[in-house]
Amino acid sequence: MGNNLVDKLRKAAIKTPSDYAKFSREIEKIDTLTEINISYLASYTSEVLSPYIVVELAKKGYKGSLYFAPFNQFEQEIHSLDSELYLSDPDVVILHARIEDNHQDLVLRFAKYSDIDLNLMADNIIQRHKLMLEGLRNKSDAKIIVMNFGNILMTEEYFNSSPVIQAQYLFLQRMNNSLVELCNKISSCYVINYQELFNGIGLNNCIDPKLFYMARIPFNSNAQIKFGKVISRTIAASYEPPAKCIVLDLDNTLWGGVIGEDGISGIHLSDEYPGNVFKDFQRALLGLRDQGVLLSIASKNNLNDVLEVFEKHTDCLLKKSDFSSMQIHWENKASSIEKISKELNIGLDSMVFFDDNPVERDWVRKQLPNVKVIEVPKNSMDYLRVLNESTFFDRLALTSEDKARANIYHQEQHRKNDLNNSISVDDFLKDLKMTVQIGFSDDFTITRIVQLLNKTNQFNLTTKRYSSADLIKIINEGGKVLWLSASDRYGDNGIVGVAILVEIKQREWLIDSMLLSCRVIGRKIETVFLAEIIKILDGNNADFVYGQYLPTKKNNLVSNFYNQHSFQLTDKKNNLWEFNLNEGYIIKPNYIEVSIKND
Amino acid sequence: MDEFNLGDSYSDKFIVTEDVVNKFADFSSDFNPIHIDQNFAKSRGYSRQVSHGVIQLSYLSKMIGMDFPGPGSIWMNQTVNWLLPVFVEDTIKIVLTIKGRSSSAKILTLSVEIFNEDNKKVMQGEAQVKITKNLSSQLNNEINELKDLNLLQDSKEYLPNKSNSTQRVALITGASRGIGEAIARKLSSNGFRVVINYRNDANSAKKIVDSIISSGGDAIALQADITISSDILIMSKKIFSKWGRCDVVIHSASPPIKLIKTEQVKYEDISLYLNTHLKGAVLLVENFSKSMIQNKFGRFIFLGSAALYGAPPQGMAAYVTAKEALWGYTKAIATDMAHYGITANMVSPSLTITDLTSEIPARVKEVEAMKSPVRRLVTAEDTAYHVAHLCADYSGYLNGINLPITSSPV
Amino acid sequence: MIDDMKLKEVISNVLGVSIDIINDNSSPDNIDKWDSLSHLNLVMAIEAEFDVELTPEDSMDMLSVKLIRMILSDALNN
Repeated sequence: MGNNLVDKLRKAAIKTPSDYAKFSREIEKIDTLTEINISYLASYTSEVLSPYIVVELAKKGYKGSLYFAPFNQFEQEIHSLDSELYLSDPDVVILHARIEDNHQDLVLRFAKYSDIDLNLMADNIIQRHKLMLEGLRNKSDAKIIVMNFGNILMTEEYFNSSPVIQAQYLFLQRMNNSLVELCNKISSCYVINYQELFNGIGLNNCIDPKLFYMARIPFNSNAQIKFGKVISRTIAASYEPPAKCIVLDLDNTLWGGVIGEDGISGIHLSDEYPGNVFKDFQRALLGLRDQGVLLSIASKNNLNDVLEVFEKHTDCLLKKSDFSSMQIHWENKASSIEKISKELNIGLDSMVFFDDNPVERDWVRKQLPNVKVIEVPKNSMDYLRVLNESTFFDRLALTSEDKARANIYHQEQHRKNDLNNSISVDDFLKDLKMTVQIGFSDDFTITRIVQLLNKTNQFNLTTKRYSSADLIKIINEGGKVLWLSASDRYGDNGIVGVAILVEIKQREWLIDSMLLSCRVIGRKIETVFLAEIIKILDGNNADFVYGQYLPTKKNNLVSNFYNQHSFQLTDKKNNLWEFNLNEGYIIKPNYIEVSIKND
Repeated sequence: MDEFNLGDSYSDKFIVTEDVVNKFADFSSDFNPIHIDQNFAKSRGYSRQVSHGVIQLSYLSKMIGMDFPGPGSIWMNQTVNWLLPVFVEDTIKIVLTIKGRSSSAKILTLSVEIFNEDNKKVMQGEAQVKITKNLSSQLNNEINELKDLNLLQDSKEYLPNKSNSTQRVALITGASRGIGEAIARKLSSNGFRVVINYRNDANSAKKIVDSIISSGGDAIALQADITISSDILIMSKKIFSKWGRCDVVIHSASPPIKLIKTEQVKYEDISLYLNTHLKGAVLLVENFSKSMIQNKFGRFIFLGSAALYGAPPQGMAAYVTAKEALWGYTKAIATDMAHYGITANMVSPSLTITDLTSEIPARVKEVEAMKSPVRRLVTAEDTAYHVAHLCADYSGYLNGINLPITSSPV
Repeated sequence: MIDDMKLKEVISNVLGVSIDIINDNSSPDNIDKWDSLSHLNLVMAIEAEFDVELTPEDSMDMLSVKLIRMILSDALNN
């Protein structure tokens, strides 16, 4: 029922406020979507945004339940524990204190301020935000979304080169920089670029003075719809990691023309039109790769023809080594994608398909409904825009692991090849010269830990999703959050494992979460991890350690994990396994070097 | 004035009897023997007594004052040239012809010619007559009625007979339309005989009368300008002679409301409203209270306005002032005359949309309606209902109140 | 001429009431969900659906469905 509605929503023409109102009500009746409680604190009448947020979230599979605080009640709601804000138990809190509402002089009388005044004003505004965000974080684990500062009363018809307006713009930029710095220090806190959003909509198209003056409604219904879409998109991005891999066609996608027919000198790929269109697109794809998205190819072509382009075409920015997987043959593309998925150990729902041929797209959609298919426009000049606008790659964080990912996968290829040559698994593993380090989460590692917790599906015993705020709470209550990093002779894999341990009774601990990145499955690293966990808990005088397996569609491979490691099944219904420290002992391989990072 | 055109003519005959001549001699003390002694007259060469010339002027006075132009005329100027003697028992014919008219000054110039039986002109002259009133044929009828009733010749104050009918009578001023009309209809359906007073719109008044009568009620229409004392006097006499009583007087006549910036208001603007509202009320009380006192029952109800409550709307200084003055008068009557069984009250409705305000766009009316707590505009019937309530016999304890009909607290 | 069905649909969607109960007399008096906030939603929705601009006075005069129709008519004719 819920999925039908999601489909219906995506296909229906929902354009006007009336349309949104109608569908918003229908969504209220559904209870099969993932529920998210959202609280909105604003300096304006925010209730009007409700149908837009609800409908756009529902299109992404979420049911938003919204609480709108009375306007300008920030401190009252945030600093009081029994306020409606906290009673509504939000998963997400949105905060928007606009200078257009609270500091009209900064907007309309900017010239009256001296530099000293401006610094003071900026400090005050940022300080206020600091107190609000910290106050909120102290009392709630909810994700926080803050809007940055803009001046949407300024339209394109203003003479924007005037020194006053230039100075005002710079002032806003400084405040926005400070705001980003502030939010980086607060866990699970994201900034929406309100300023750029409205500049993009076109300021003339946003404003309806009568709504503002009569009812403090900040902008017209068109702008409300767009704002609602951005908010929903940001919320979804905070729950879902970006796609991990893009599967690309070649002909008329990475270059103009067909390599098999036009030959290497006939395809369009150059610094002149139309070749420069494709060259820029390649550049954009590399940009995706820089952020950790793997590039792969599914193309019906002769491999040698393609390799020739990568090796010899001087304007081809993409090289063979940029691709983590290549399926270049004459079989159907759905099976190519499946093969890539297996090869890279990436779930189909984390893969994006980009192909200029609508027939291919349709085929993949039907065969692999979980794969995300980009609706590629007819005009190749629009490829870049569509790629950058795509929500599939939305991300709210970028870690060094992300940046290095593509290269790590590249290194992985070598390992796989090696595997085919080795004599025995154990020998192979020994040969890898693996070292593992285990440590306790801190400011540097927590982002990666959260990332793994939220995206790892296969080797994940309980598949519990946590935000950094959740983890901090666990630690504060006496729990332990561990990371495991692994390297071998081919390189450093970075942090690839996480465990969360909580004391449930005196001297009895539960392994609340334990996971390993799919990259390092099958190397006994999990055994080493478990053994170290037991050792650490022993050091805490634990008598019993419990582990739980919560089955999902994807984690079948660990269904027997605790059994394999000498845990006893103690509660069949809840799949709870028990390890008695006084009696048991975990055998771990001796070819993996382990060290514990001490704080 | 418009009825008199150049060339219009009127004539009448009189017999100058010996009796009339002798009475005139008595009246004037002019016993000149030529007028009263036949022998003396003969001795002077006349066949018989010569009538006083002035007697012709008396008949002329009657003609001008009662016939042509008629009542309301003021005889300003007369030239007289007697050409031949008029003897006793002669029949004379007086012919008046309009020789000139001044519409602005409302003055007619008449040629006066008097002829004897042999059609010889005995007198020639010119009269200038000022017309003070629009003379209509209806007025002539009313005059005739009064003549029938022998009222005009009685200069004493007239009091109505103690009526033998117990049906109450109500006079409503300004009853040819709007609130006045609604009140008249309501009172009629409550068993009153009603007098529809109007100033100009005879047709509408007649239609209302006809409609009331055809529903089984009793009504008459009487023209009167209630700012003119004599008009009200005549109207009152007609009412008393027809129905013998007047129990209820409702004063709803009003000039149309004109908005004037207060800083531009002159006293004349205020006078206009004072005349209708206050002077009219005073004249009504003056003419009708005596019979009410006699009958130990009376009701005076004056139309006020919701504009009297709180801050008045802009531009209504003249109107509001006059209505406030009327309210003061109402309270005085209520206090001083109540022991006679007479109550005086005011009823103040919100601006009532009637046919006169039909140029107001439908949307504006609808918005006003929705802004009212009861979500509709006040109707003339709303006011009429409550006026009728105040007129009832049982409302003797409702006195000196200003009843707001506004759908919300004032 | 206003598309009456379209207007009723908009009102029904925005206020969250069945289209059957909407008639000329419908107003905040007899529709609970028609409060000050949903009134503004009505203004915005009608502007978007009929592509008109309403003035603040128009907004304040929209005291009943009958009045909405009159006001929308005026706005469309200007």
